[in-house]
Amino acid sequence: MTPKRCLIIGATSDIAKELIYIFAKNGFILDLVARRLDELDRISKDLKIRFGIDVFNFHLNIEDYQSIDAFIKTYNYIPNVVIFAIGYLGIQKKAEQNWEEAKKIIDINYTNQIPLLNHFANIMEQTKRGTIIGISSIAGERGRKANYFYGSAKAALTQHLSGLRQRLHSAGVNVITVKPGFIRTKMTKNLSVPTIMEGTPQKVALSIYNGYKKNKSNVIAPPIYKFVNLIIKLLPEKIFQKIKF
Amino acid sequence: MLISGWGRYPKISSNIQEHWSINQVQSYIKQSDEIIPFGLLRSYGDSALNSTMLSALSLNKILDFSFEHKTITCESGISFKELINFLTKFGLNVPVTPGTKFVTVGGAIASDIHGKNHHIHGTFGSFVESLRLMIADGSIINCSKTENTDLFYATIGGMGLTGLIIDATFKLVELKSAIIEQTSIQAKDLKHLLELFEQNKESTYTVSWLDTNITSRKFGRGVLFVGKETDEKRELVLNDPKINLPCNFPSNTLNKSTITLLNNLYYFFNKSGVKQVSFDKFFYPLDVINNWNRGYGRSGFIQYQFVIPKENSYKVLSKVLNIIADYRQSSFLTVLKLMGKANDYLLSFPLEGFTLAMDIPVSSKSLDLANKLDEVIIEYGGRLYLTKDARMTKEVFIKSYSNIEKFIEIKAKFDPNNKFQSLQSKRLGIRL
Repeated sequence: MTPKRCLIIGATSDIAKELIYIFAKNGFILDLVARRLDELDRISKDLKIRFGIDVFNFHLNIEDYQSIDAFIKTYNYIPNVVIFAIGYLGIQKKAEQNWEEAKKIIDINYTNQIPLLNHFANIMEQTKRGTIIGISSIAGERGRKANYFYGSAKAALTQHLSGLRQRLHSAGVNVITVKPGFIRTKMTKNLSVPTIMEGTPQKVALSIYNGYKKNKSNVIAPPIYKFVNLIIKLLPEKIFQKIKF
Repeated sequence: MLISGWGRYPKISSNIQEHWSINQVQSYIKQSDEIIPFGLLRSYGDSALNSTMLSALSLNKILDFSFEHKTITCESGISFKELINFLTKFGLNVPVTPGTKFVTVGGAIASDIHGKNHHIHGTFGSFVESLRLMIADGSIINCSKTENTDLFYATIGGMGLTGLIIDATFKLVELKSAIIEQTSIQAKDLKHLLELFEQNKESTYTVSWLDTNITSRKFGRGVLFVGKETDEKRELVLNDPKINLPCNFPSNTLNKSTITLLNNLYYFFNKSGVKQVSFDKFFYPLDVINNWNRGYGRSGFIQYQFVIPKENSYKVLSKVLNIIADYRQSSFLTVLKLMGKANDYLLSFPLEGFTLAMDIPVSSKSLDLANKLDEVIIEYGGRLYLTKDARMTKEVFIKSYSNIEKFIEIKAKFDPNNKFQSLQSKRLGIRL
């Protein structure tokens, strides 16, 4: 049996780094995509030595349409799994004043992922197999003053994935929306959050892999956020407005 | 965040920096005024502590591995546990290991660690073929015995003061078996114990426990443990700690009386004989207990480790035991070992002679005792292990490490603004 192939876009993000090792352990061929090829080089050498698998590195700058286009043209494989692990929290306060920052948040978290999503959705629909995993966020469930630029972009991504899931269902292609809660990563290292609410990239990555194996539609991790999510969604607007989180 | 070394003394409030890529580490080093790299914080004293500390743990990749040539290139933050677990699949092993598997490759190089085979194989540093060091200006420098030699000799054993070790290439050894044949030999007194070391110096692994409690009938009794690899084919398994000390014991739990009792029990239960023990148990007996350092209570302990040239060994060790008795102090986890020849790394600890390591709970009296012991050690040409030290004075250090001037000169060349410093390097004046 030929080994399965997994493509990870945004391979140097913290959740992706953990996911890579889980897929590697399970014998997948890995295609790693990121802006920093030197980082990918470290990771892929390690993967090859430890797991004896094939690993290929690809350059992509998600902020640049030409780079996205070039990647789609050079990447000639049809992977079994595509993971979108791209995120940019940005600086909310700056985005309120500065269109460039606001646009950057929206582009990285939503707009610029669309050509890639389209491409892989189309080829998977044709070949009638595969899984698309998109890492969105719990922040996309309801806009909050602390991060509504990021949240609204992730909300768009969540809805996009939802539509895509419905479209690809008949082709037998599964689309998984991952909504991580707060995770201690390089993106969030400056935020303070109670420890009980904190997830680790390792645990979230494992939940994602389990979700993939079980053909889930949504993965919320850490599990406490299933409950938190429900409350956030159910809170009446009048009360929500007065809350300070 | 309050942080300390393994001895839990001293404790300082520190800004801990973790970065996830070489690029980020580089820009952090460039912009910072003062830092010390650290790994798993198994050095006992203050050598890895500073107000800002840079974690190397995210540098945990294996970059090259040759089964044929028995070499590996890996980043500095990878732990021995992880590395051994990887190597054992190929029947290979790290060439030198300390008493715990929870150390990093970077720490092993910066401390130029030794193990139970030092008298045969030397330090970990003697197996290092090359390393890449990120220096103060953020550039990465290749160092080996043929390239940037001065920096190579300063960095191995250099306590992280020359820069951040990014990765290193070193020789591996064959792992003959995961089962060690351990011969225990009781020594009735110090003289006997030192003789036993001489008699067994052809054996690969030797180490002994020494009773620091002396009476008219027993003076320096101990047990020598000799390890020999067997031919038995069994899978090497490294266990996680089985017991966890969840909180500090009261600070006086390990006092003179309880330690005397423990020492008596230890001697009683370690009769002479031969048995087969696992690799894990032979090399890492204390790894069974997670956070065993909490046994010494909130105030922590110092590990006092010195080495003295062989010709003065009996004399100095006798003096040391007498001084400890005078101070009415005691140590339980006391380790005595015969070391092989010194190497050329500038701040490397070992020299040919005996090394003694003991754990003493921190108090004003025990710090006094340590000062007293320092006088004897330097008088007879010995020195203290920087990786264990938390308290020696600059004077003692300078008298015992004869290459210090050369080290400082090299450090100044690559780190002119003295960016890499620790509490220890400040205390010992390791700077221009």
